Amino acid sequence: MTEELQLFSEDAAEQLQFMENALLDVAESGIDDDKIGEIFRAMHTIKGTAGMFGFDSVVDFTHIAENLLDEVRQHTIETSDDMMALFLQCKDHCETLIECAINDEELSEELLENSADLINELLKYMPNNQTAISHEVTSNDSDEHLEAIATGDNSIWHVSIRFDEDFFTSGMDILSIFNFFNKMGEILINLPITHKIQTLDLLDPLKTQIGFELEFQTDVGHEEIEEIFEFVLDDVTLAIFKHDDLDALGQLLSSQEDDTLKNLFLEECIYSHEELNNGTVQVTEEIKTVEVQEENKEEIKTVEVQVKEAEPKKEEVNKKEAKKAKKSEVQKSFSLRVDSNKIDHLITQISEMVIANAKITQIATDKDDTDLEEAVNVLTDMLEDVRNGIMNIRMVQVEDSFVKFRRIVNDTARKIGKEIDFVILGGETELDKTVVEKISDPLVHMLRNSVDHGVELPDERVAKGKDAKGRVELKAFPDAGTIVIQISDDGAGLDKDRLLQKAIKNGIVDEGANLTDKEIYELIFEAGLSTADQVSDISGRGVGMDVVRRNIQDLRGVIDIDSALGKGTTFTIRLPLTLAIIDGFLVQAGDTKYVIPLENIQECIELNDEYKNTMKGNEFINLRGEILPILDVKNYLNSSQEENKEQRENVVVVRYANTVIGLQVDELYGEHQTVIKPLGDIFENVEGVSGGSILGTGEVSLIFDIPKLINHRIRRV
Amino acid sequence: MKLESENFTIYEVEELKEIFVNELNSNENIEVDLSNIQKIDMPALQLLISTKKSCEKENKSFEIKNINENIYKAFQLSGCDTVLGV
Repeated sequence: MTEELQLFSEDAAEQLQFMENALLDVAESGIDDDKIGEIFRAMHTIKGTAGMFGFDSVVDFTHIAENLLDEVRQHTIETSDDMMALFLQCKDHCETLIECAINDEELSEELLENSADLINELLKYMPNNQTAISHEVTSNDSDEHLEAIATGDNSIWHVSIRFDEDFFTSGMDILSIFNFFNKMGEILINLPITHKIQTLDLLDPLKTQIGFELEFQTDVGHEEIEEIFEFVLDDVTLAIFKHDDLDALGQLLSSQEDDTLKNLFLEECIYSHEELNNGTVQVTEEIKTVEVQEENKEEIKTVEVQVKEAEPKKEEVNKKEAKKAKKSEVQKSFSLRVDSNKIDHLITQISEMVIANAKITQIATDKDDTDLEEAVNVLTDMLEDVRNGIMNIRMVQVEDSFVKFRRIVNDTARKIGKEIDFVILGGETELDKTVVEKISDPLVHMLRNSVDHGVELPDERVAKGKDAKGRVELKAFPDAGTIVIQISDDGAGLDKDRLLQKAIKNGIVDEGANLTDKEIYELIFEAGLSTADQVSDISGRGVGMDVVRRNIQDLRGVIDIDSALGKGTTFTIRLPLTLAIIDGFLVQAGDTKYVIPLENIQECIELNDEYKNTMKGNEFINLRGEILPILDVKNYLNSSQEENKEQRENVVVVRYANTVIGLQVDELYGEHQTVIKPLGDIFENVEGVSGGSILGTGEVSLIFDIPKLINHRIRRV
Repeated sequence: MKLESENFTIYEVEELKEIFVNELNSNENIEVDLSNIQKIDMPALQLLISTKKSCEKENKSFEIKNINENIYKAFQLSGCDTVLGV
């Protein structure tokens, strides 16, 4: 795929998404002009850009949809819910058409039929439509056109196009561009500029030497004409101005090296001598006014008033345009498409730098060199800034991916006859892009589940005294160094007894096993267990939730369920902020050093005799009146048990979600920035260790996976 | 000279340029027969303009013949019909 095509593909996807969001908004909160405008613009942009690539199937289809939208926008046609539903279908169809066009596939019979059906549906709303797209090429009666130009028709633009010499090889077809001009209006005169074209002996046939001067009649404005070149703006030199804008013409001519262009305009009668020698024409107009004045004084008054009125308008327009230009400039400097690989590369490099820095810090400490230490401290601070900066690049707001779910929820709900109020909260929460992408599928699945067998049917709900409309909430917020995503519904809630029975029936749980509520809820993550009595095409096959859990675990996240029968269910997903580097706390137990993620640490306490007395051989201490389970790290992970050599014993109190435990260790070293390195397969089954890290001394330390450790400790109780 | 292929596009122009150069060296008049051509693009049109220029420089005649309807549309669309005298 060429770069331009790639851009088109991305842009189209974005526009389609805009369209969908607007359509869903309309479906939810009623039709308003802004939304219709958004839908129209998206459709229009897609048509425009598809036209550049000569994707006629897309252009023809979007053209009709756009026409209808335009009428709706101008309130000549009433909107209805059905029409919005139709536009939603059109949007989907567009997506398929674009995909086919990009992949250069033939349209299948079915697609063509679908096109025809949708077009028919669209046309039904437009009784007096004028939908035929003019595919005709400029006719050659240039005399007529010249006349139109000469009479000063205000809708005629002059477009001057010069190409970069590599334009041919960019893959853009210049003829397609002209074709598209003819769809937006009519090229009255197309004047190829050939004087730069070399003779055969010198010509490199792949280099673009030809240029064009167009006289273009259209209703659209400057911006839309420029948009035709949207994807190739860097590769062309454009001058677009109204045919009678003589100042702009003067500028164009003065930018030329010689008079060739001027002479050509004369030769082809595009501009007259007076016009080309700018200024003279205004004089003649003045003379005319004087004549008129003499003939009819009253008339000139009105003319004057009109002129006065027109002038501020012009100013306004200028201001607006200046504003627009400024705005687009600002946007340009703020958004930049970068290959994500480049950022990943930077992150790897920074990770290595963090390790190298740790080494220097170590050396400085070893040598007791205060100057070096100071220098290293500065470097460490700066490195942290850079690291945060780079990590930040990867952070995106979850909103963008969340809004996509609205469609899924809506569609699912409609399919099974449920009414759902879908609410997104905390869309501005930021999360690593990779995480956002990977979490998307599980979320879709869970949302479908909530709609399908969380929320009850309207009748059922009314019978239970609930609002007929169900509510599904998707919420994101940061909490203790993690990002929490919650999906909650106000549906029937999980039926513990049924879950348990089913699990027993399927042999997942032994009969008579004593399970806590949480453990029962977690059964839904087991493969082959579905609480929906009826298997629908949406959910109920029992495959899925186990995949959901695995996906979340792959992201070092955890998922938690809370449910109240008859009131609803809440799924809580906790995800780490980033994947590569963490702020840790370095400790030692036995001979091994460990890193505890700083975000999990609540406090450190010394395990003095007082505490030891309260332990009485148990693995609990009394921390300010609360029971704190203790995990002796040395016992847990070190098989060889050496007796303590009079080491200080410390407890690091860690928290994850709502659980707090203490880790009993020997030595506390303090904060330590660390890069997570994956451990070999051999460590795969070591619970509670998420990776390794290289210290400044070259030693390896293990990074604790606090959620798993807590889980392990709690399970033992 | 009759162009044999169906396409006269950016993929053919380099090869055809050599053919045109030879043709120009060995003939007094250049006649390009486009009857086989089904598809044409801007690099091809530019090559034709360049050939015409070369002919004019050497005082040779240049003519394009047998343009089918579709190809003619491309000439018109780009305004090259006038430049190339078709």
